[in-house]
Amino acid sequence: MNNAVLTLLIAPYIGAVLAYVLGKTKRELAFWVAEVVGFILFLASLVLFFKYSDTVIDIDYTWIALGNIQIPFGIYIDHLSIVMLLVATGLGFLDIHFAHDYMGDDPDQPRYYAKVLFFIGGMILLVITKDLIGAFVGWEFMGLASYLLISFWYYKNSAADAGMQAFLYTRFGDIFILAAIALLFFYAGTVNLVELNQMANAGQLDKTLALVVALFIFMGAIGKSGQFPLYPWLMNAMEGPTTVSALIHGATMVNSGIYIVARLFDFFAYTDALFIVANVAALSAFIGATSALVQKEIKKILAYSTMSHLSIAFVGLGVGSLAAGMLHLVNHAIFKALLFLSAGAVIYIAHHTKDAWKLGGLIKTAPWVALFMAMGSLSLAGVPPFSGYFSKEMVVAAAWEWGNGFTKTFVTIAALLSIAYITRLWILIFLGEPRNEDLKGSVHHPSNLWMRLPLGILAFLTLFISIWQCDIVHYIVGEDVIEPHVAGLAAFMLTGMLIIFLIVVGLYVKGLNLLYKIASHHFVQTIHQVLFNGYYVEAMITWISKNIIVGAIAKSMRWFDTYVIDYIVNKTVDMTKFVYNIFKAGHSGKIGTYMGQFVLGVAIIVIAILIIVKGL
Amino acid sequence: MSFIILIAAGLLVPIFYRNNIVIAKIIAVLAFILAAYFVFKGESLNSIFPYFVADDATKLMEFVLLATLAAVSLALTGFERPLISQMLFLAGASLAFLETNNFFMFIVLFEVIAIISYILVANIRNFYNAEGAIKAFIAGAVASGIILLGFALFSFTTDSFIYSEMNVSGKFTLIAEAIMLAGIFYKLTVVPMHGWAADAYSQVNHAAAAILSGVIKSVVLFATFKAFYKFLIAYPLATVLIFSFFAILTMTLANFMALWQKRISKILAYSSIAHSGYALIPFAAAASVYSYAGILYYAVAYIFMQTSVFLLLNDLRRELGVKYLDDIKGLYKKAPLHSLLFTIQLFSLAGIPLLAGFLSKAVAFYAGVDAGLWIIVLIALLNSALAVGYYVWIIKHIYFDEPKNNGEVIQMSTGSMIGQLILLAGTIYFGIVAGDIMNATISF
Repeated sequence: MNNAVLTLLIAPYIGAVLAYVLGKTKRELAFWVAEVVGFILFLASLVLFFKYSDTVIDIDYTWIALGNIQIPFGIYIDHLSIVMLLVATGLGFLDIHFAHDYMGDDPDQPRYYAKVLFFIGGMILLVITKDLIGAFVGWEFMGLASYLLISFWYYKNSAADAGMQAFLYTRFGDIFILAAIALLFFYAGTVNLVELNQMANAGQLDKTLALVVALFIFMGAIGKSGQFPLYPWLMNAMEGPTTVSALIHGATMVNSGIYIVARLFDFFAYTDALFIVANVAALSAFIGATSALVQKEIKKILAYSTMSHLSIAFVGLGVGSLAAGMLHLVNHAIFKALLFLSAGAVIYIAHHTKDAWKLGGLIKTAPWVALFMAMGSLSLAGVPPFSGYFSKEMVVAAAWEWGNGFTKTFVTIAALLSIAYITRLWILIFLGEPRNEDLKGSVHHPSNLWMRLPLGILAFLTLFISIWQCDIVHYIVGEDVIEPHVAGLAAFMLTGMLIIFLIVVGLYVKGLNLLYKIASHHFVQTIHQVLFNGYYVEAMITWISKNIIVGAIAKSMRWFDTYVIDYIVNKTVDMTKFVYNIFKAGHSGKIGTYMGQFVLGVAIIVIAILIIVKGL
Repeated sequence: MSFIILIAAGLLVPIFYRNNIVIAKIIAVLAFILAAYFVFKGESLNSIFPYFVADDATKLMEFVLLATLAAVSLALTGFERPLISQMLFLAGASLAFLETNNFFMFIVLFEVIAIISYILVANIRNFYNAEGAIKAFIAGAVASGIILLGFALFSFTTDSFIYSEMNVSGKFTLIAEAIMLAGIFYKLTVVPMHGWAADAYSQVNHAAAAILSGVIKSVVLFATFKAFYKFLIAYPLATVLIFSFFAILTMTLANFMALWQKRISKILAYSSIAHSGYALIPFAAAASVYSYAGILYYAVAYIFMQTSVFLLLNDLRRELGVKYLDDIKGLYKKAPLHSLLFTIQLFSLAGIPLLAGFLSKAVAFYAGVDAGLWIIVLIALLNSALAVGYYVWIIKHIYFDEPKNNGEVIQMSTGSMIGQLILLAGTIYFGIVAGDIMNATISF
C-alpha cells in the first residue's frame, strides 16, 4: 500500500494513544504529539494531492471472506476524496494549533488531543474508503468522537446531556444507514460505492430498492449533517469546547452527510431521491437561517448558520449540481472554521462569556480578531470577492434553473438572510460599548503565534481561494461542468443583501431603542420564541420519544421483560445449578473415578465404531 | 535448523538460569527468533530430516507457537525458571510434531510432547501441585497405552505411514482410528477423558498450566487434524457422529461446570475444556473446505488467549495471592494493567468481536454450517452464550465489586509486560485480520 495512504489510515490512532500516554507523564507533550501528527497527516494529504491527482488510488481488499459472505474493505481515493482529505487534515491541523492556548488551562489535555486525533482518523477513514462498510466504521468513529468531545467537560450536566443527545440523534440516523447496507448486501450484492454508481449509470439496479436505500442513506446524512428534523443536537453540541465546535460541528464531521451523498451522486440521481434531498435541505436552510436571527449565544448563532449553509450545499446537490454543492462545502468549511475559531478567540478574550448580548466594544481590544472575523462573516454572507459569494451564487442559480418553486424560494431566503444574522453577531461583539462589567477590566490577549496566525491563515484562504473556484470545480467534477446561469440573479441577490445589511446596521448600531420597541410587541415576541427555540422541533421530538416511545411502547415492553423474560432468566440459574449438581457427581477429584470415565469414553467410541463397522 | 537451534539453546540455558535469569531469557528469546527466521526461510526441519514438510498453514502455526513460547519465557520468574529450558525443548518437539507427514513420527512425537508435559508439571512446590502432576501423569500413561494399542492395530493394516499414502480402507483401520482418537482425546481434554485436566490445570503451577492448556493443546489440535485428515474424509459417517457427539458433550458439560466454580483457575480449566468442544466442530466438518482454516484459526486464537489468562493469573497469585473469585473483587484498583489485559483476553475467550476468539469461532462454526451440521453449530452458539456468563462474572468481580482490603497497587514486571503485549497483539491482530489464515489454508 501507498505510504501516504498507510500514514493517513494508521497515524491518527497511534497519535491518539501516544498523545494520551505521553500526555499523562507531561501534559504539554499531548499537544506536541497532536500538532506533529496533525501536520504529518496534512503533509500526507498534500502528497496525495500532488502525486495522485492524475490517477485514482484504488485498492481492493477483502477483510473477511467465507464462501459467499465477503466483507470488503477497499480504499478508493479520487479527487473528491483528496479535497475532503485536505479539508479534514488541513483544518484539523489548524484547529489543534489553535487549541494550544484555548485549551491551555485545561488539566485534561491528553484526553482532549487523543479524542481529536481519533476523530480525524474517523474522518479520513470515511473519505478514503471504497465500501459502505468502511464508510460506516469511519462514520461511527466520528460519531463516537463527537459524543466524547461534546461531553468533554462531562462534570457539567449540560455538556453530558448534550453529548448524549448528539449520540442518540445521530444514532437514529445511523440505524438507517446500517439498514441500507444490509439491503444492498442482500439485494444488490455489493456495498462498493464506486460499483453502486456504475450500476446506477448502467441502469442495473432495481429502482424501488435504490430509492429506499438512497433515502435510508440520506436519513443518516440528515442526522450527521444536522438537517430537518434531526438538527437540535447540533445546537446543543455547542456545549463542547469551541475548538471542537469549529472542527467537528462546523467544518468537517457535519460535512460527511454531504460527502456521502456526493460520493453516491450518480446513485442518488438515478433514484430521484435528489428531489427529496433538495426539498428537505431547502426547508432546513430556511429554518437554520431564521432561527439564527434571534439567538443570543455566539456559538448557537454559528451553529444555526452551519445548519443553514450545509443545507445550501445539500440543495446544490439536490437540484443536480454536484459542482455547486461540493464547492459550497469546501468554502463553507474554511469560513466556518474561521468564524468558530474567531468566536473561540472572542470567548477566550472575554473570560468565557458566550452570550453575545453581554459582549460589545471588543474591536478596541482585539482589532485583528475583529478583522479576521469580519472577513469570515463577509464570506459567509456571500459578499464578493470572498469565496462564499461564488459558491452560494452557484447554488442559488442552480436552484433557480433546475429546482422547483419550494426549493428556490426557501434557499434564496436562506441565502439572503445569512448577511443579517452574521452582521448582527459581528456588531454585537465588536461595536458599541461593553455590556459587561468584566470586559471593562483586564482581558486576555490573544497571542500572535497560537491564535492570530491560524485565524490569519484561514482569513487569507477564504479570500484568496476565490481565485481558484473554477479550478476546484473542475478538479472535483471534471472539465465538462454545466454551470447554471440565471440572468440578473447576482444583481438581485446583492441588492437584497445590501438592503438587509443596511436594515441590520441601522437597527443594531443606531436604533437599538427602536429594536427594543419592536421586540416588545406580543406578535413579534411569539415569533421570536418560535425562532429562538428552533421551531420547537426539539420539544416535539422529546414529546414523541417521552410519551409514545418511552411512555407507551417501552413501558409495556418493560412489563413483559420484568414479569416474563426475567422470570425465565432467573429460573435458568436453578436450571444450571441442577445440571451442575448432576455433572458434579463425576468430579470427585479421585483419579480412580477419572480413569473409570476414561474407560467409559473409550468404550463409547469403540462400541459406536463397532456398530458403524457392522453397518459397512 | 530451527530444531537444532532450539535443542541447543535448551541445553545451554540451564547453565545460566540459576545465576542470571536475564541471560537465560535472552538466549531463549534469541533462539525462538532464530528458529522463526529459519521457519520463514523454509529450513526448519525439512532441510535436514526426512518426513517433514511445512505448508503455509503449518508455518503460520509455528510462528504463533514460537511467539507464544517467547512470551511465556519472558514472563517467568522465581522457581519457574527451569521451565525456560523445558519450553525450548517443547518448541523443538512441537516444530517436528507440526511438520511431520509421517504417522509413525506423529505417534512418537506425541509421546515426546507428553513426556515434556509431565516434566513441566513436575515442578512441584506443594501438595496441590503434586496431586495435579500425578493426575496428569497417570491419565497420560493410560492414554499412551491406548494410543499405542490403536497404533499397533493400524500398523498391521497399512503399507505406508506417510499421510498421503496411508491405506485407510478397511474395518480394522476404522477401529484402530477410533482407539487412537480415544487416547488423543485425553490430551485434548474431551469429556469424558477430561477429569484429570479439570484438576491438573487448576492445581499445577499456573505457568505450567498456561503451557499445558494453551500451547500444547493447540499444537496437538492442529497436528492431529493433519494426521487424521485422511481418516476423517474416508469415514464421513463415523467422523460426523463421533466428533459431533463429543463436541456437544464436552462443551455443554464444561460450561455448566464452569458456571458454578469458585476457584478462578478451575473456571479457566473448565473454560479450556469447553473450548476443546468447540474445536472439535471443524473435525466433524472435515468435509467442508473451511475445516482446515477453522482448525488453524481455532488453534491460533486459542493459544494466545488461554496462555495469556493463565500467565496473568500466575502473576496475580504470586503478587496478591489470588485464588478465589472473592480475591479479585475490585482488582482494577490494585492491579489496573493486569485487570485490563485479563478482561480483554476473557472477552476474547467469550468470543467478543474484533478479538481473535470471535473470528476463530466464526470460522470454525462456519465450517460446521458449510458441512451441513446446523444443529451442532446451533448448540455450540447456545453454549458460547452460556459461557459468556462465567467470563463476565469474573469481569464483574474485577470492576464492579468493592475490594475486601485496600492493598498496594502492584506493577507488572517488564518481562511479564512484554510477554503479555505479544499475546495481546496476537489476540487483536487475528481478531481483525482474517486474511492471513484464510490465505494460508487455501492450498490444502
